[in-house]
Amino acid sequence: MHPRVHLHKQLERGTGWTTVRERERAREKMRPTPMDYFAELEDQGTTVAMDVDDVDPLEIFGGEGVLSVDNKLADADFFNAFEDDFDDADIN
Amino acid sequence: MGSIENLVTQIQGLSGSIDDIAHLHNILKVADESLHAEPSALSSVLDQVDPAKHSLGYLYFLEAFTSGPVSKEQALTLIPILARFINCCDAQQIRFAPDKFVSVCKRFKDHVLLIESPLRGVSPMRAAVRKLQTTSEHLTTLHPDFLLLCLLSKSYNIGLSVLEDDIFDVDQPRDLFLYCYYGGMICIGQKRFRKALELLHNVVTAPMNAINAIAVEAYKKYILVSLIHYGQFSTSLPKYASSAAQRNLKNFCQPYIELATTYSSGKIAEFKIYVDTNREKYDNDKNLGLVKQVVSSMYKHNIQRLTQTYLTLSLQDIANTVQLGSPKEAEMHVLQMIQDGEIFATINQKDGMVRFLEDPEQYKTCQMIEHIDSSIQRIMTLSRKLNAMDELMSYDPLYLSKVGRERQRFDFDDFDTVPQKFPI
Repeated sequence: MHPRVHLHKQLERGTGWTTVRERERAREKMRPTPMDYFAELEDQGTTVAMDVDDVDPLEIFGGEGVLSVDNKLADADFFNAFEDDFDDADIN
Repeated sequence: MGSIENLVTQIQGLSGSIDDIAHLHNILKVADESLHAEPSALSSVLDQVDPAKHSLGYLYFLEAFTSGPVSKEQALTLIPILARFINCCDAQQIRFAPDKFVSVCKRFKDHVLLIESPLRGVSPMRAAVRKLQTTSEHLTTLHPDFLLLCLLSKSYNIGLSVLEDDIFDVDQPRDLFLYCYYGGMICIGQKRFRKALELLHNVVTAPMNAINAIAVEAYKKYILVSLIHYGQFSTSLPKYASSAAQRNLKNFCQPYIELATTYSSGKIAEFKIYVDTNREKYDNDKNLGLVKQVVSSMYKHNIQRLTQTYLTLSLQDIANTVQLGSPKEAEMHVLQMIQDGEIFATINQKDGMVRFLEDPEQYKTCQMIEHIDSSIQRIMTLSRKLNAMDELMSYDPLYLSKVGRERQRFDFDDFDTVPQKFPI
């Protein structure tokens, strides 16, 4: 396994010491699987997720994050005052 | 005023070669503060400078001239000046001062909204996007503003032309959220549901440390469009969605999750009762129109399910099974679905029988081969881009410094040639 990818996975795990056995298990998880290039984009339930660890994503932007971390919704002031234009009864 | 006249002379003299324009830019940067000190003095000067030939100089004047709040009447005067500049300015020159160009364009957008005439902004904003972009893969901060004007003016087709570009380069994360959300709405307006789902999916699964209002609204529409297009919806988010989204998104969208659960029963009467009970919530979110499309889609998906069981069926049986009012109604639905390519069938009007057919596509026409070939090319391009991005990340100082900081937590066996610390 590429050393950079290996360290990336260690970082995500965030559990401190990692044994050789755990590293080998991680290597097995990272083994590439054939990709179905022609699969249609299905709904969320059948979407093939990327083969990543089952942990929180790496927060590469640090503690503060890209968006403000309040208890409120971020970007709550965004413009969303559109008319409801999707009623087909208007067309039919 | 004398110094402004000197500046005009310099702008007229130094707008030729790239070197001259770079030199002019340095002069304009120094003069910028004085331009902002007396913006009203610039109105007469604008006529002395050509927005097409002297775009950079004109941009500095225009940006200073239009700074500050304006009334509706002032906006009416400024809009044609701004539109003319955006349409005819030289892209190479304005890219020397992208922030100023963005300011001018955003003010233009605000002015057209102030006079409640978003349509007037659509064409100039599209031109602005193309001029600011370094490549067609570059998402600028003007993209969401352009799509917003398309939505308000119901110019969905024009918005689609920009949405066809694949985006790989983003200035600000908020731009991506808005671009994908507004873009999803435009695709819904054009009934391009699959593309809409792709864009809304991007919003919902984008990295976010805290739950984002744009993602919440996108998720609501995502649920509805998923029901319309696929007739089903799964609440599980993919692994690569942020933990903030995984933990919180559903809490903000409960009426929509419950709508999807009721939909999955396939019982139209029950579903309609649920919609009527919660009508106000969907109306407040301006999603009632889309919810009505979900109701219509239930008939469609129930008919589609019949094609998996029956070879022939009478219109009366279809009406009874799908809970339509009459065979005539069933005929209208089936005809529409045949026209839209959603089922393959023939109707014998003599005996009121519908014969369901197999998909005639043999996947061996020239058109299909071209389509498959272009899909393969697209995937290969994506793969190359991913490899390039992966490589770039491996050199990123921010990434390496974080990796370096975590070094001491590793087992002795895990040590390799990566240096221990990366000072930033």
